[in-house]
Amino acid sequence: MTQGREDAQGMSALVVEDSPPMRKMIVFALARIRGLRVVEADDGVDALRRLATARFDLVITDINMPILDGLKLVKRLRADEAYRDVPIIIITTEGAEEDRQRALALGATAYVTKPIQATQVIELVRQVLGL
Amino acid sequence: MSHDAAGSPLRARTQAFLREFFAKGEELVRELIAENDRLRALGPAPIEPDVVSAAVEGLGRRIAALELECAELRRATAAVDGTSDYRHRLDELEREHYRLATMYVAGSQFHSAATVDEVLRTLTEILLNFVGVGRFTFLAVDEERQILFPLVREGVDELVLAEVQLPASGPLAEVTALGGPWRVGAALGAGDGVLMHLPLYSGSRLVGVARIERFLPQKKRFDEADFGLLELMSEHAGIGIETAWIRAHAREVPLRRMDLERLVGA
Repeated sequence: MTQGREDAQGMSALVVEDSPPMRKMIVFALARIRGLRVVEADDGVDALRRLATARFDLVITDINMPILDGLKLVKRLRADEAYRDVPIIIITTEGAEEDRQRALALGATAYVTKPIQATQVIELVRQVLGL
Repeated sequence: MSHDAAGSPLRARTQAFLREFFAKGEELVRELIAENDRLRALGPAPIEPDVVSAAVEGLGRRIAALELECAELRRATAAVDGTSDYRHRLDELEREHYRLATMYVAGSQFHSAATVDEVLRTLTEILLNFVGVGRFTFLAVDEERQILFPLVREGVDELVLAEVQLPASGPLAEVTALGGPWRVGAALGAGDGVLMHLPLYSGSRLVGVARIERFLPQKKRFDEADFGLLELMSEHAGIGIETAWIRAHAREVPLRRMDLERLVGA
């Protein structure tokens, strides 16, 4: 991975999480990455609405969400030419190996289980964004 | 626009003024050219040797000071690169920062919840997402019947737990006998199939107990950060439930200046 950029100026991330406290904590962790603009979505449907109106460089999503879950969201995004190569990080309570394998097979870039460590998330985001 | 007739006194004065003005300008330009030629003929002005050496010495001193500063910075950088202490300390600070933020978010969620359901949803989300609890039961207090009864269960489909008579016995009694929120170092009230009984208090009023039964597969034990959160939950989730309970049963009364002033003794 290239280590060229000093910060994420001009880049944006979409955080898709139905739990407000968890969403706040992911946003809090991402705020440590200078310049990264973060947009929040309550669930998969809200995410699709936001993805249709703006371009994101990274999507971070939970799996268990009402209406449209995180795995369906990954599938939809990978079928979309515009989001075929955009990094998608899953943050979930589902810790079983088969869940991880399924998400990665659908096209998720990385899979992180809760409870999260902010440093782990920051490091991972930097890595996938090439910072 | 009016026209002065040729030869009028005003026009004559204006012309005289302009002649004088341009003549002075011409004279000034001539003087400047002459001075320029004189200075060119003189060549570069000699600089006194002592002035030069003082300036050079000053610069030399400044350079030496900067070099010292650079060396100092190089030593500091080498020390940072050469040991893991700096990285370790930074990670520690990041973890502490995140832990405090987690507690802030959890506390604010409990106090902004308007209904008992919202408080219990927050409790579930914090236990699940922040602590890593995979299965738990919230036992609420029925004060009239003096019992604890299962109200919410996470991680299993059915509410199969029996009511518990108060005062409780066994591990549950350890925490319900506290008479106030659980603090780090107090008994966990662990028992058969239970990692912890977390009492939820509002002051000294017991409003419920979170029976923590199992971690998520990826979580192995409580850590220091968890204990801080559990302490906060024991105190603030209880207040949140009591507040939401009161709100649910309160008669709606409009805000009135007279009543508000009486409340603050104004």
